[in-house]
Amino acid sequence: MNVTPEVTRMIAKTAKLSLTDSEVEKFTQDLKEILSAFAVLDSIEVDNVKPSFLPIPQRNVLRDDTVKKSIKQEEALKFTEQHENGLFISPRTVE
Amino acid sequence: MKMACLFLRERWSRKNNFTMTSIHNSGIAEHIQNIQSGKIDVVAFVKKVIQLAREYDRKYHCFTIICENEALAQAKQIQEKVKHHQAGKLAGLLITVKDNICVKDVESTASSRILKGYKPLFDATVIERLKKEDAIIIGKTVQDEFGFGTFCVNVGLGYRIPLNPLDVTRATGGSSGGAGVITAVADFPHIAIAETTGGSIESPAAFCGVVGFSPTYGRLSRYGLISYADSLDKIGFMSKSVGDIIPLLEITAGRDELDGTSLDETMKEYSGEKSEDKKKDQKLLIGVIKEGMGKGVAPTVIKAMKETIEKLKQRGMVVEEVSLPVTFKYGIPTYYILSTTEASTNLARYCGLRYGQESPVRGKTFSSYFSEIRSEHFNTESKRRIILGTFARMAGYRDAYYLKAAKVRTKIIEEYKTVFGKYDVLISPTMPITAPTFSEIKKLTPLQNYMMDILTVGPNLAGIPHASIPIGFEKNLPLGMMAMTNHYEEKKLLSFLSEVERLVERGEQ
Repeated sequence: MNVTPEVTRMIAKTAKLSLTDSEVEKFTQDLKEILSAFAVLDSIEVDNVKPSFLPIPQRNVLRDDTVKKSIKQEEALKFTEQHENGLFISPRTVE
Repeated sequence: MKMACLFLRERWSRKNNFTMTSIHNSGIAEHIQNIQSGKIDVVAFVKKVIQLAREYDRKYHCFTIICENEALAQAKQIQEKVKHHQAGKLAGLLITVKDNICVKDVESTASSRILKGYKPLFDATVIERLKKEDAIIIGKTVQDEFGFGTFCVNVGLGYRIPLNPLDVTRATGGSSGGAGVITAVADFPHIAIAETTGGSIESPAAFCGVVGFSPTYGRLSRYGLISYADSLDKIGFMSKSVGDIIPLLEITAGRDELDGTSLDETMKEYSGEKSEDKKKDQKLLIGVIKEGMGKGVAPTVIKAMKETIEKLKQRGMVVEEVSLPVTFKYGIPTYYILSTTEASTNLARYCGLRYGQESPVRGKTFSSYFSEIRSEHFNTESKRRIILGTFARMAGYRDAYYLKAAKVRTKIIEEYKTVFGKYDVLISPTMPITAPTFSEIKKLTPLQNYMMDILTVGPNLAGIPHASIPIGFEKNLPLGMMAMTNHYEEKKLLSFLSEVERLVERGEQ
């Protein structure tokens, strides 16, 4: 993988981060060094191995579909000034 | 070698005229009895503790917040319960909580500026269970932002880096650095509630000279834990003594319907079976991990390990060398790919809406607003890990990195399972070095920083119980040994740790 400043900018855009030029330069260098070391993973054979997304096998856990008490509207809104008429204000999603 | 006596613990016990009934307990049981029987004025006691906590914080920067009002309110309630003989099993025990674990109405930010001002409307399940038994929360402890660090130097913007109480020019270890500090210095009966993802309990335990304990993945509910990587995060404890952990584990472990990964089994059976365990300890088969005793590990650390191994042998335990080649060759990339991938999705929720840091939204677009808030308030290490994790799960790279790492994780888990088919306990040093100075850390590249986790990522990837216990000092800096057992075998681990504690502290041969 050839990590260039353009690649770093593309990843940052996907991750919703605005990086300065010096951050792009630094993270590009870091990513190069890290991925170069992590290339050791190419040397292990895992073709017939199942992935472990958790360390311990899990079963599906279901609960009764019952209505429970939730937080009040004023509690949900108390951490933000960006609300109006009991609703959160959000940025425009269509430009 | 100078014995690894926990000097602060001994000082505390002497000062309070408590007789240490056994090496398993630093006086916490006696303290609780004194509270329950009304011998101690809980409110006056908590006021004194808060004063001490402020002094420690001034010296070592261990807290993000000291919650005096909440602690005193709890103390008053307990005082009333004592009058009616209704005080809980942990009445008056002082608890500190890592900043990434939610405490109702107390600012909980994972030491990140992006969450500044956030006061949860609920308690994490672990906290709820502790409060129910009348443990008193005195404050939140500082950490690397969201847990992203080995030394606790990656605290969030505006937070103070904690200082190692044994030498303030050195790091505490991370990410639970504040928890390590307060556990080492607290001159009152105290347990720290901490959390590990890749070694965040054991690293500060080793560098601060205390016990750090992480249970099997899922043993304690993660509900109310501010996530770093869900498949790796585990709440655990830090204490001055192994025995202190047992009552907390009994009370906090067990199924929680709010966390689908929590285990069914409770941990109620410990207290009555200690004497039987002591006999078993002498017959334990111990595997010392070969890769943890070689290249990259400081000679002083290896020397302390060898001396401890000799003591274990003289105690009748069989100690053999064992190799974990897959874990040690592939553990670091596997851990960092999986953990940063999960972190990059978990941190997507911090977008400047509903809670935490925000700015006026009107007139801004979705992408520009989110990018602005996140870039302004995340620290450098968070940005680095988000970038690495986002890359590892992007179209075109997901199979080569994330999926591959998940498959290698299977091989690592199998490697541990195979070894536990023969050995009861595995041991290795906890960290390859003693606590480094801040100037030494500054010279490390991010990759060199990540490599410092080489000894602790394995048990975290496998989700097995593990713990760090002090085994000595080198030039006044503590050295820690890590012990690990198979899934669900916390009891065996605690029993072994008690034996090590006895051998090291008393200098038994």
